[in-house]
Amino acid sequence: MTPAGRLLGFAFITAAIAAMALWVTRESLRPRESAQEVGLRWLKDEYHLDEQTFERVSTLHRDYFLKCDKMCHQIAAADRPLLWRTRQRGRQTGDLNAKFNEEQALCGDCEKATTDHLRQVATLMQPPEAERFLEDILPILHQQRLEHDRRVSSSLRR
Amino acid sequence: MKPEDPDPLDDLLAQWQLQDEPPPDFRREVWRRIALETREPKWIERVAWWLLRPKREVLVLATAVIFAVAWGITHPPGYELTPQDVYVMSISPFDQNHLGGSLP
Repeated sequence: MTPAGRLLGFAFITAAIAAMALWVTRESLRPRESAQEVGLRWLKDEYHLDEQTFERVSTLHRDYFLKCDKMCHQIAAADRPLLWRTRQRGRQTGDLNAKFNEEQALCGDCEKATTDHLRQVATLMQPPEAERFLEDILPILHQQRLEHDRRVSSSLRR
Repeated sequence: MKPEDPDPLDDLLAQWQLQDEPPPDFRREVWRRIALETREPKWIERVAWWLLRPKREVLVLATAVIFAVAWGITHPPGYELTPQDVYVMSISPFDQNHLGGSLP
């Protein structure tokens, strides 16, 4: 092998080993918390919850997370035939409309359940914090619902 | 000619002695010609010659690994989302990342 080739090989091996060391270091430092844990920790810090309130808020969330997962699966199942409509050209428009109406009813129920949960959480907070919490989260939830509906509608129009 | 017949040339060659001494700058001339034929090494060959020694290779490798680990420690992986976004992701059934469950 030529000296240049040996040098290139050495540089490649060094870079590969350094990249591996970097990856192992960063992965070992990566937080192992779930999204739910990170979210709850943020809630506690942001809205200055004391330990007792945080415990109650966490319990409320644990119950809600189960319900939320179920709702998400229901929405995903209801969305599937609407979002994949392009592959089902043979379907009748009436059939799709019925499915769309079912999906919208389900989304309405889910949005209400989430809003109720957030209001319930807010009742455990100090009034100014509760107000700020609802002002922070409810508009985002509403916006996500609108975006979701827009996505489904545009898929139906295609 | 039979193989056992002596070759008269053998005797002559045995008696032949070189009378000439090599010129005084013979060795220098040989080295000069070798130097003329040998090209200058390229910079990459010089670097390779300098670097590719076992001790230096180990040193370079260890330095690279130490730098990589130090970089990894000073630049730990973070979330692409803000904690508020993560909270919304965990509670909103309309969040596109919700069902994935993992943090981007």
